[in-house]
Amino acid sequence: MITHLTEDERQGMADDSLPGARRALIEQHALECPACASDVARLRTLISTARANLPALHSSDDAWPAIRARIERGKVVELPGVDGPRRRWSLAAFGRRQWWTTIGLSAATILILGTSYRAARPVASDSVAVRIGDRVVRNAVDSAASTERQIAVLLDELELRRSMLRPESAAAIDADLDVVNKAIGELRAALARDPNNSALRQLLASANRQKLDLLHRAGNAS
Amino acid sequence: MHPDTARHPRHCAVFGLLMLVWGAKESRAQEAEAPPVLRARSIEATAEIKVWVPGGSIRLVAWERDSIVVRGRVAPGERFFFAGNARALKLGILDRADDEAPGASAFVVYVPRTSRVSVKTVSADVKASGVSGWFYTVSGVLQLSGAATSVEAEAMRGDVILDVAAPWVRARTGSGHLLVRGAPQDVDASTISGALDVSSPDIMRGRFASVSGDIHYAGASPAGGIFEFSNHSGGVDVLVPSEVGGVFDLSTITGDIENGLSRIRPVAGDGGRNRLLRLDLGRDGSHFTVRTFKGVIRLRPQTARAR
Repeated sequence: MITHLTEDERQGMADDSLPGARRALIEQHALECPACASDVARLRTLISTARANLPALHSSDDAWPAIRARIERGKVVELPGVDGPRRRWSLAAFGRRQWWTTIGLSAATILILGTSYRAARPVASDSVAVRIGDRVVRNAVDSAASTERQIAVLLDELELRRSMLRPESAAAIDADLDVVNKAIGELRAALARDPNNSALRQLLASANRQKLDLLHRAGNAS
Repeated sequence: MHPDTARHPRHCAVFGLLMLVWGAKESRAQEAEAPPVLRARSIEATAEIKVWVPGGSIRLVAWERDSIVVRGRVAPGERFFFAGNARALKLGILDRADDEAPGASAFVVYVPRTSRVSVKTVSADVKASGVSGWFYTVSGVLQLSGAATSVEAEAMRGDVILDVAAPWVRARTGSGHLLVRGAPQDVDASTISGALDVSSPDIMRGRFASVSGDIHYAGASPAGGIFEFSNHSGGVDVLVPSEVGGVFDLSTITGDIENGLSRIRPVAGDGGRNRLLRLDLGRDGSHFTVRTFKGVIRLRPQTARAR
């Protein structure tokens, strides 16, 4: 039974990295086995071709001092009270600082005025979240937006999984989604006509919850 | 030879044939009652058990032993698996990579009463008695009964029939029929287009919803109970004892409200846009809230026969 060289041995022979102890045995086999010898020759050709085509690389040691200097420069934080050349204030530099200070103060004033105005006027209903203990309670509009985001994510997941679903499962999901979507469409249209109707909002929330449930169930379908 | 036998050889032949047929039938019946044991092992009383049976049927029975026994028959071309340890194990039919319909395997699984199961099927029907956990099917029928710690039953379009005594029950189906009976305390049940029937005097808190299926509730109005019904285009039928107490808040956008409990008629509310009916019947009772978009709301007293 002919036992040929292993891949490791052939590669080692080709790139001349064989351990000394086994080298003689492996080379002896290559002399006696034309198949292995030819494969090793092919590997040697490949290695030499690859080495010839390698672009010349600069030693990383050459680049390192410059990189290190840049890192070290970044570590230094210049403080205003430190002695040295930065302490010498030129008129232009003083002017620039004053200009930036003025801009900063103006921005702060606008921010404070804006915040006071927002606090004084009725709060937009889609931005209230109250923390009670370790739970954050959001108002209805916010929670509806959150439900719609979850629905969008689950719809995307459903589309990704659709090809893996059995046809009857996909058909059942589509039929149910159609029913819920029609109901949601009717409720939205009614809400557009009557935006302050709280009963409509509650029905829409219920329909969205149904859709979310359906999509969660669809996630388990196969 | 017995003289009768000699006299009536034809009768004997017919009798013998009948006995053979009866014997064969009896043996088939016995086989149906006790299919062969596929696997059995000891497990912890609170073990988690996952079951996957795509087609056919599975019956789960809770028993008072710390062991699991699986009896049944595996459909031709399918392979049975059973793996895990005393705390968690899974069993069922190995998934196939083709699109063929699942074969009809049939299993009977005995599990410890305090264990929890997760059962999933495609078209296989599930029957469980006294078993707690999660049950899911695409088009099979889920039929759960007995006492359980919690039950969660979900179907895409299969029927869900619950007759359980449990502190917490959650049930969902799409176009299937959902029936809640027994003595659950806290129920959250909904359908998309299937009918939702609730018939239990023991529910304390209930949330029942559908999109286009009719909801029928026949139950009591226990003191402190909270019931919420929501439907888009399906109707909501609430049957309560005629001497009921409690508060009923009914509202519909474009549907009708029929009050069979008193002479009070619905009024236009929310600036004339909805129809509302608030009924405070005093006495100790539950708070019922019913909302529909265009479905009819009917509030009716139970007749003695219905009770």
